[in-house]
Amino acid sequence: MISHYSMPFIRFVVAALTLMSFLTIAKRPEFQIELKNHLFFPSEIEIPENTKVKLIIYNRDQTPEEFDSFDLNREKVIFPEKKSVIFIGPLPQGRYEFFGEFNPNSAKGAILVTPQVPPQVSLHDIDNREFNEIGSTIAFQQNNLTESGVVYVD
Amino acid sequence: MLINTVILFLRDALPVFVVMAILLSLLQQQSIKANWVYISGLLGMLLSFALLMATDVIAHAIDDTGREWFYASLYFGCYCLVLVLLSHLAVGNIINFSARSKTITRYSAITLVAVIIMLNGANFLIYFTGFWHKNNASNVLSTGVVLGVGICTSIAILLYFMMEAVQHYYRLIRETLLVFFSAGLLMQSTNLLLQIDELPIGNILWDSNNIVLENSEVGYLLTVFFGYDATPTLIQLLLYATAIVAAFTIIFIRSNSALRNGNRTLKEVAL
Repeated sequence: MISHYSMPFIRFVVAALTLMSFLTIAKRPEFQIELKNHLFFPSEIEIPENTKVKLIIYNRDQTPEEFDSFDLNREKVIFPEKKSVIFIGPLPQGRYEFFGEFNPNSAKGAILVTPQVPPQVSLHDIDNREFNEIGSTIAFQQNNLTESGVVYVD
Repeated sequence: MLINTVILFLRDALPVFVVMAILLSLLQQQSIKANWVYISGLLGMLLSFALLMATDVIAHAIDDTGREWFYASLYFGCYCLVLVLLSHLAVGNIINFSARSKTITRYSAITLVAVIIMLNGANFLIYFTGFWHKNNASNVLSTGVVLGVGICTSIAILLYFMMEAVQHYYRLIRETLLVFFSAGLLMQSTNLLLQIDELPIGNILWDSNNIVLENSEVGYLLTVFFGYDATPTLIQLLLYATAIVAAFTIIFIRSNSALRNGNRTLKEVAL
């Protein structure tokens, strides 16, 4: 039986925990990758060492895929034309490989954990390649095959 | 694609075959008829299809973390069911099973196997149905499933007879395997909660990939049987150890209590 005085306390605890969890999540840097024709774009992304990050994976294919990484201990199904979210890190420096479990020969990629702070990029719309500035810092890295981006949400 | 289908089938089906072999052996020891296997198999497959239909909705619930919550809660539920099973079987090993205990054990086994089939079956069905129409892959997928069933059945039969053989040297072999299997489910549960940031991740304690690679054949087997994780964190290790200790404590307490009750009954009969 919950006493008369317990309810406000429980409400306070729930509210505090909810607020704390939102604050914690809000601080996580976000990284995005997408899957097209059973290939990951970008195939390599850089994340800062010892930092927990949020990874958003978009599946642009008509078939499901399972993001899998033994190095990262992560496994997540991404349904056709949907997105999935996972958290990774904090990790020491190194290369952490991932692959698409349903198409392991083509869908391959790696997370590079680097000491330096990676460029801060807003990647709002991958399809249209529109990159909007958040705050004062923005950078965009592009090579022939891949693009990499990170956005810090305050 | 054939090899991939076999690998995926083994990953999802092997735990089902292993738990079925262990439970079949355990329940036969208590003279419980094996028809529960068919019931749980059928129920599990129906639930798998139902979960397949709802999996997209579940996956995108709770801010795209619904699937993790759903699977983690059910894996935890499976661990609890194993504890219920073990507590009744511990008594059944000492004194005769009561009709109530027999019913609870039977229904617990049915639920446990059905839930594991549902969770793993839905995983495989996502792949199977997703690629069925792609480039006439149906033949390859069917062949992969047939090969996978053959391998899983062979492993399950070997395990069944291995338990029979080892029982002469170690009486609790089946219970021990079930305890480690259920602790493995709990490990999967923690992994899912870690990846949605609902458990503190902490630092990785060690990396045993250089001893047994997690994605090797041995790694797969160890994962199914013992919940092997090459890169565990402190919280995972603590939960794993606690799960095993809790299960063995329950077996010990229930066995001792049954033994005391049995001795008391014998004394009363003697008097």
